[in-house]
Amino acid sequence: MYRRIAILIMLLVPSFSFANDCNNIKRPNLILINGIWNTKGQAEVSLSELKDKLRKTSTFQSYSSVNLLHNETHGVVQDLVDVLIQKAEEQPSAEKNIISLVNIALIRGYGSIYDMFSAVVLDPLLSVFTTSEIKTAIADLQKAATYSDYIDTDFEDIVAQFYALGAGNSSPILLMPHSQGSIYANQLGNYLKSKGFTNIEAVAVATPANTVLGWTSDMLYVTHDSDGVINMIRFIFKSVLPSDLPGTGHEFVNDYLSDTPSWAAIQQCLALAVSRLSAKTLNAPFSYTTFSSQTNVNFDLVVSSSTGFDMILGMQQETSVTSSSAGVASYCPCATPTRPTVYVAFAVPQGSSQFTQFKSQYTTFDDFQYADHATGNLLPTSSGSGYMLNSISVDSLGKVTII
Amino acid sequence: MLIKLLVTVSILLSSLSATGCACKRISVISPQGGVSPVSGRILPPEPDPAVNKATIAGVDSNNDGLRDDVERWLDATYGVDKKKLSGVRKYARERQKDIAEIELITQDTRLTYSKNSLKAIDCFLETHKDESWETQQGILEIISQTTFNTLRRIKIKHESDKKFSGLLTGLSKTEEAVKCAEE
Repeated sequence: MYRRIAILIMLLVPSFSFANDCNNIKRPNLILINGIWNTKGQAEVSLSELKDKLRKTSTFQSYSSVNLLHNETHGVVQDLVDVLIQKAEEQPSAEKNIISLVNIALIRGYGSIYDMFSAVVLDPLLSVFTTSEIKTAIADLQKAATYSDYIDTDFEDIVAQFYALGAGNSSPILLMPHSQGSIYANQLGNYLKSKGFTNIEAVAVATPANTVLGWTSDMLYVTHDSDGVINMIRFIFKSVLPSDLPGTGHEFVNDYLSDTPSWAAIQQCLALAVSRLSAKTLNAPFSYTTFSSQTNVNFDLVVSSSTGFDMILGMQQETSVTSSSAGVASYCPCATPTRPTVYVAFAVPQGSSQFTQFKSQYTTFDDFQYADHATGNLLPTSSGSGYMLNSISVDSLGKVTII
Repeated sequence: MLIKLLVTVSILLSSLSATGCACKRISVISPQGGVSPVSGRILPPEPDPAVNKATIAGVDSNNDGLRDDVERWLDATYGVDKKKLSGVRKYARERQKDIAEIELITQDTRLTYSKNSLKAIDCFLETHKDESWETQQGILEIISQTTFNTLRRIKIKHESDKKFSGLLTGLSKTEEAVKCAEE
């Protein structure tokens, strides 16, 4: 998953940066959703750290806004704190330890309690608990990790807040849930779709869910192979998405944002999600995007079709492919412009055999079916299927319009 | 898991070292208050512990939004660096609001409270950017420990956090620009 995304992003970065320059495509609103193992305080710090990390990248401007959606730490986790407080009230000698424990949880998240309970014999703060109490607490926390009993009234209010933010189908939503927030995001995504929000994507971090937004393929997520929390949930519930990145730890900032490979993978997933959203904004089956170029045009772009999300990985002047740069399908129509207004584009469904082939042989188009726009005829190829663009034009300044 | 524990322990130790520092320095601050020899700020007197713990809000004799014992402790611990002191004061003031103003946190006002909290966190991280993530977390923890230092306060803090469930929040560029605006 991760490697595939990395390759795709290399192909797509030019397209999404162009797309975001377009006046008719609004940038997505990135929305971080904390998990119930996090606290309000930790979620706020996570938002601050995420923005700080994004600000240091060239992609920060890709977002219309970066916000936090507070996911209530209700249910079993909430109850656990109540139980802790109750225990301290019953046993005054435990008060100091409980206050310390809860305060650590307030800053570092409820997951920290789980970690400490799991290592009980080594932690003096937990000396006030009996073994059975700790076992019960651990079991409750494990259940809590997949807690998903949310009420619709929460979502109704959230939709209203999205509208207030200016979000909608022309200003898409990119959810970034962490941990159990992924389950929440999946439910929220379904609710949003039922309310007419169709332009939604998600990049899940450390997800205990078995899907991202209900998809079965091309899901964007990053989960460490040694994420103890997720591995524990996977052990119990089985149906958890497989990990896709070497790494340890579960915490959003400390383990995922701070870890270089993880942060790189998250950025790549976000970039791909932005590309997808830009494509969806264009409207199926083939709408258009426009972009300008001074001289050499990199024609990489993304479109959607009525059959689902596809990518046009490259575009070439019909009669010649004049250049390609390493790692990026870059086809310049300028060198020998025998037919300067006629181009051929390739739309290849993600996950298709053509797509796989294209990844490794992106400079070779012969295996792909394509359409001659000038004539409307599909040109013969050895295999595969493609989509024909309806129209395309290039003005005197090199501005290309594809419909 | 063991690594996690060691990290937690190291964070606790770093937190304790921060308080240890404060214990030494706070002795130079007069119990009667007055000009701090650490920061030069005018500090309130040390409140009577029983009176200070009798209410959720505690004693804030100079009405600056910080509980007097917290204000004095922050000054003793971070007062040598004015920027850092400003960052921790701002953060601590928001945490105090969590409990002292819980009745004022409503569906209509919670976004404002949340934005102020985000500004305080941004400001804290900005003023402590030379510190490691672990140290930053340790400082936030010890401020939390000092502010929510009774079971009642912890309970109220817990109730306060629940009020933000389902809130969509964030700072605009304009708001971020004034994250460290004075108190």
